[in-house]
Amino acid sequence: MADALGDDIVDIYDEVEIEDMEYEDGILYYPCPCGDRFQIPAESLAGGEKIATCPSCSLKIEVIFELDELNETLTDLAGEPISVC
Amino acid sequence: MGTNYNYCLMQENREKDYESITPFSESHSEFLNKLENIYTGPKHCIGTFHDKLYIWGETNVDFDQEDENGAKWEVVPLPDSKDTSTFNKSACKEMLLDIPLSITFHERVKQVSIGFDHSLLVLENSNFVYSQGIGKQGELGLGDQTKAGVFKRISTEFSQGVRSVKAGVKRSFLITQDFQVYAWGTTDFAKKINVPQHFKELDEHLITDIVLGFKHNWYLSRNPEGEINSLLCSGDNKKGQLGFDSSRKSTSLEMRSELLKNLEKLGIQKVDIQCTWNSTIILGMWGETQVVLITGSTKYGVVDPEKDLLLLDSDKVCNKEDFEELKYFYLKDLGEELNNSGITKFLTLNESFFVVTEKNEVYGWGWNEHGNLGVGTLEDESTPTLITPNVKNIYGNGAYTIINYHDD
Ligand SMILES: [Zn+2]
Repeated sequence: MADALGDDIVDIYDEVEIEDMEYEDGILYYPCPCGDRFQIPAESLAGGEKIATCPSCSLKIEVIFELDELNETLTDLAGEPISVC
Repeated sequence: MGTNYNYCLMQENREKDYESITPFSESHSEFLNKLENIYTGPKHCIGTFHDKLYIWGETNVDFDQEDENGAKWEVVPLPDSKDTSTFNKSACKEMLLDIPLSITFHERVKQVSIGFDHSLLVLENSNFVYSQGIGKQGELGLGDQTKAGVFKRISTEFSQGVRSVKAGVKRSFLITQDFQVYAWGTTDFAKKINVPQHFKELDEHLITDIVLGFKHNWYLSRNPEGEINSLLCSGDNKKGQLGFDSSRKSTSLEMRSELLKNLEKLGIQKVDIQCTWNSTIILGMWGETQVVLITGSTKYGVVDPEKDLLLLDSDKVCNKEDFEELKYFYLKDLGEELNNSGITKFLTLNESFFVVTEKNEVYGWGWNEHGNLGVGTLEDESTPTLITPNVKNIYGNGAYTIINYHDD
């Protein structure tokens, strides 16, 4: 579910360009300062979700991407054709 | 203390946060105490002793691989640890190691540097560098190879000799004995460079040290007395971590002579520079007073909005317009005790800080979600707080901390 506006605006640790993330088996990853990795399934991005979370801590990042270029961007990152939307 | 998520604390319970200082078992203490050097990364740790290297935490190790001399990883038995005979060697790739593995080189280990998923190694009397771990951005320097389960030799020979290496997140740097800098991985100036590349723009500056944040870089040239003669920076400034207005998102290589001049004009001496992930810290002596200046990320207790003023807003600086380069630096309120103590070590985790004083006391502040400050809570701490006395050394990264006490 996409984050609602208003009270639910989450405390964002960083905003990250999708090009700076790494793609692995359908999931995008980015280093978290706690020593784990922020992660978000590529399909969630296609569904409008932008917040990647870390399984080990409370920090979150916002993924910056263009929805209409998502497949192309993921394909570049993966080095193989990816289609999620 | 802190998170054991990657097993950097070598405790059995991976899920637990250690918010209070917790003693290691006898065999762990004995193991750690005999190490000559301990290097701590966000995900894994390395200890060295003569020609032996020990590794633990979350990292990519492979029992089936051999290094250039035919050496393989061996399990280090620690009696207080779980039964090592059941250790599953075949599954040993991208492992979570709660007990150390060791490998023996035939030269003394001169230096190690740990990035995020990779480590770099320099051996005494060698003109080569070795790398281990995972490096999808080329940070291993091993060409197309993105994984190394043992330390693999990077093919470039540095005939001038290797002064030091510095592993960062997704990138690696090397300084030769004649002050040339090589870089590989993804940096602000090039993406996915998978073999060392000479960074010629730095040649004339005779770089002796490189200090890295998550995505920002400082290049320092020190004279033989240890003073910084020349200072350059590059990389991200989204959070103001390079001391520029944060509307300037990043910069390519830039000289920061004016910053050094501002510090000198203000009378700040013995300047040193450190980074957390998203900030830069300038340490120095202002007369008899120890000062800590911080720019960049101010959240998570890094800066206390009540007590830590922007340096130029403090009553200590009269003519602000003369110190343009220091405009975005906060003067950390260290408290009277710390202001007047000599600092023997300043350690940054990814968003928190530790200071060891001449009296062997440790103070800390900053992000504490995993209890990594060791103050008994999981609350961030914006005031430098006395954590423990009698400290010999302190190590840590990410969200965990290891303290080595004096014997008595
Ligand atoms: Zn995290």
